Amino acid sequence: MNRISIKRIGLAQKLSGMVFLLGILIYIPSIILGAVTNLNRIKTELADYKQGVEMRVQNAFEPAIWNYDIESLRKLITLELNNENLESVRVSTEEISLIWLSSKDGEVVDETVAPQGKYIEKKVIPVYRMDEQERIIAYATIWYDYSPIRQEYFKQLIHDLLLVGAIFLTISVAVTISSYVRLVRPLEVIRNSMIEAGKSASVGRKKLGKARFNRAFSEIKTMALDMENMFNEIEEANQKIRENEAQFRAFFNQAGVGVVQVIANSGELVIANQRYCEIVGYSVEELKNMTYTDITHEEDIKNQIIMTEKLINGEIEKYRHEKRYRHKDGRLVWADVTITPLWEPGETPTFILAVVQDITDRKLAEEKIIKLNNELEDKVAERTRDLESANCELEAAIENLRSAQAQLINTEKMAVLGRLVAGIAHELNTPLGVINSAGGTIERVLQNELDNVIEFCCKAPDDVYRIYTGLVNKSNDYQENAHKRMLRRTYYNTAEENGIEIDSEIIEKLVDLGYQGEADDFIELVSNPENIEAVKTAYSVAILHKSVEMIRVSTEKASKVIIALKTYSHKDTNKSLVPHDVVEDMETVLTLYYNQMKYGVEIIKEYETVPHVICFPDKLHQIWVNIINNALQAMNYKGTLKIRISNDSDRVKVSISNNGPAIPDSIIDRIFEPFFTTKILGEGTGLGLDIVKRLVEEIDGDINVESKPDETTFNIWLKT
Amino acid sequence: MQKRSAIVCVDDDEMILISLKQELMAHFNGKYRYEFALNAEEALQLIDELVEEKIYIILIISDWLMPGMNGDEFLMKVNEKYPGIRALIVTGYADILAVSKARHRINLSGVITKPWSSDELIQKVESVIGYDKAN
Repeated sequence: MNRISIKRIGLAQKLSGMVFLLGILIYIPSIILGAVTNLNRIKTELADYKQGVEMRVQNAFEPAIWNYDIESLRKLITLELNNENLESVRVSTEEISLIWLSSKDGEVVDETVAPQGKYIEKKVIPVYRMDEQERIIAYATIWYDYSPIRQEYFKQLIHDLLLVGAIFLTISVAVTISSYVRLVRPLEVIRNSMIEAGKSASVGRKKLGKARFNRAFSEIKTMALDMENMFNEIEEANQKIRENEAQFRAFFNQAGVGVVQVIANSGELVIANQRYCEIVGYSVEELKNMTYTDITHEEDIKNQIIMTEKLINGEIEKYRHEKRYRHKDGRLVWADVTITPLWEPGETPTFILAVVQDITDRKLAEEKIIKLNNELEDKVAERTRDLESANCELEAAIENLRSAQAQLINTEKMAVLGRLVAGIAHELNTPLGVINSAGGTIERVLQNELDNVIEFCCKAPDDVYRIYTGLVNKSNDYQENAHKRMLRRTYYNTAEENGIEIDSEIIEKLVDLGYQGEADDFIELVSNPENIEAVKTAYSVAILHKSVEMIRVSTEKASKVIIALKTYSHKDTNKSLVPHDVVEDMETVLTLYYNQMKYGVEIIKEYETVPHVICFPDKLHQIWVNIINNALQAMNYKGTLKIRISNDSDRVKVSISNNGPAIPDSIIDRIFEPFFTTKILGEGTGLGLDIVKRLVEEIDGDINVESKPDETTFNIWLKT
Repeated sequence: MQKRSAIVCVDDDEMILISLKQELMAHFNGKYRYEFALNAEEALQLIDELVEEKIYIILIISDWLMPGMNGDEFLMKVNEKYPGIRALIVTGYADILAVSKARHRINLSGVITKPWSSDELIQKVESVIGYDKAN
C-alpha cells in the first residue's frame, strides 16, 4: 500500500462527511421553513375565518336582532359554534343580554359566565342597523378559542422534527456501518494482527495472522484502487475541461465576429477577443481600462445607454442594433451588435456579452446605394420638373396655337380682303372718276350755258321749242359708236352736197343727241339759225341730264362695292346661329370679285328658290370667298365659274364649279389639311380650305370635292 | 368742215367715254374729232377706218384693263401697224409697274390714273399733242 492511497482514503472520508453535513444543513432549514410556512398558513386561515364570523354577525344577526327573533339568533349562533375555534357568543343591547351560548364538549349550552383560558380571545362587535342612520342596535361578544389550532400546529411541528431525527439517525447509522465495514474493521484487523505478531513470534502467527491480515489489506487496497480510479477520472475530467477551455479560448479569439464581455452596470470592458480588438483598433490590455462608451460614436452612445438600462431592468431580454465605433485611428466602423445578458431573469445583473460584426463595408455599400438612390431620385425629380415645365410650355404653346389659329382664320380673311382691295380700288375709282368728271361738266354747263338756255326757253317760238324738246327727249336713246360715225358721215356728206356751210360742232352735237333725220329735215333744221340755237340748248340740257344720270349710276355702283366690302369685313358680334339668305351672300361675294372676273371669267348662275340657311352670317361668305378664290386661281382667271344653289331634300346645296385643270388624285385627299398648299412658298397660307372645312362643320354642314378634267366642283350642304 | 385730226378714246365703260368727251370738248372745243370705241377690237377697226379716211390720229387714250384685249396688247398692235401714233393709258388699277414695263413697247406717252382731275387730263393731253394755246 502506498502513500497516495492512504491520502485518498482520508479525502473520501472528508468528502462523505461534507456531503452529509451539507445534507443536514439544507434539510433542517427546510423543515423550519416548512414549519414557519405552516404557521403563517394557519394564521391566515384564522384571520379569514374571524373576518367571516364578524361579517355574518353584522349581516345575518342584524335582522334577527332588529326583529327580536331570539330563536333565529339561537340557530345562527349554534351554526357558528360548530366551529371548534369559537368558544362562546353573546348578543346584548345597551341594557340587556339577549342570548349567550357556549360550546361545551361538542354541545351548545346557554352560558352565563365568560370563558377563561390562556388561548381565549374576546372581541366585541357592534351590530349596526342597516339603514341610512346606521346606528348601533346591539353588541355581539365573541370568545375565540385558539387551543385546538395550536394543538394542531404543534402536532405538525413535532411530526416534522421526528422526521428530521429519523432521517438523521438513519444516515448516521448508515455512515457508521459503512465506515466500520470498509475502513475501521480492516484497520482493526491489521492492528490486531500486528499486536498478535508482536505478542507471539510463534509458528501459529504465520498461519492465522497472515490470512486475516491479507484479507483486510486487500480490502483496503481495493478501496484505494477505487479511490485512485475515481481520482483518475477527476483528473481526466479536469484535463478535458482544460482542453475545452483551450478550445474555447481559441474559438473565442479566432472567431470571425468580435466578442466582448462588459460589466453591466459600469460598462467597463472585461475581456475582448482578437476580432473585437481588430474592429476597434485597441489591444486587449488597453480595452481593460475603457468602457464601451469610450469607443462608441457619440451619436450612438445615448441609444446604447437606454437599451442597456432596459436590459438591466429586465424590460428586454436581449437586443440587436447597428452602431458606430470610433476606431483608435479615428475612423468610423459600422457594426452589427447583439447584446445578451449573462444573468438569469431576477438575478443581479453581472456581465453583458456583446457579439460584434463589422458591417462597415456593407454600410458603405448601403450608403453608396442610398446616395445613388437619392441621386437617382433627384434626377427623376429633376426630370419630372423638366417634364412638368415642358408640359406647361407645351400647354401654353397649344393655347398659343389655338389663339393663333383663331387669329390665322381672321388673318386669312383679311389677307383675302387685302388681295381684293387692289381690284376693288379700280371698282371704286372708276365711278369716282366718272362722278368727278360729270360734276365738272355740270359746273361748266351751268356756268357757260345757263344764260343761253334760259334765254332760249323764254324767247324761242313754239315750233323751235318743239324741235328743242324733241331733241332732248331723243337724247336718252342709246346709239352705238359705229352708228354715230355713220350718222356723222351722212350729215357731213349731206351738208357738202347741198352746199351748206355748217359748223362741225353742230353736227357733233346732233350726232350726240341721237338725231336721226332724213336729208331734207336735216337741211331744214340746220338752215334756220333759231333751230341751231335749239340744237345747242338741247345739247346743253341733254349733257346735264346725262351727267346727273352718270353720277346716279356711278354712286350706285360705288355704294354696291362699299356695301359688299362692309359685309365681308364685318365682324359679327352676335355669335349665335341665325337664318341667312345664301343667295344674297353669294351675290355680295361675286360683287367683290366682279373686277377680277369680268375680263376673263364667265359666270353661270343657277339659283333655285331656297329657304334661309342656319349659319354665322359673317363666316358664311368666307366659305364662298375661299372657294371662289381657289377656283379663279386654279383656272388662272380665265374660264367658266358655275354657281348652283339648289334644294337637296331638307338642305340647301351650293355647288361651285370651275373648268380649270383637275386636282391630282395624289393630293385630293389632302387639300383640306391645314397648311397644305400647292402654291409657292409665301404665296398662300394653305389655310383656305382648312378654314372652309372648319367653318362648314361649325354650322353642321357637309363639304366634298369632285374633280375631273375641265370640271372641279365643291359641294356644300347647309342646314335650313 | 370735218376735222382732219382725231383723238381716239377706248374704254369698256361708256360713261368714261362720255366724261372724256365732255372734258376734251370743253377744253379743245371743235378743234379735233373725238372718236370712241368700247373695246380694243372696235378701236382697231376704227383706227383702220380713220387712216383710210386720211384722218390724222394725234392721240389714243386707252383704258388699261379691258375685257378681251387689254390696253397694252391693243396699243402694241397699234404700234406695230402705225408706229407714229402716240398714246395715253388710263388706269384705275394699282398696276403702274405693269404699265411702265410695257411703256417702251407701245410708244406710251403718259399715264392717267383714275379718278383723274380735269386739269391733269388736259395737261397730259396737251403735253403729248404739243397744243399751243395761242394757236
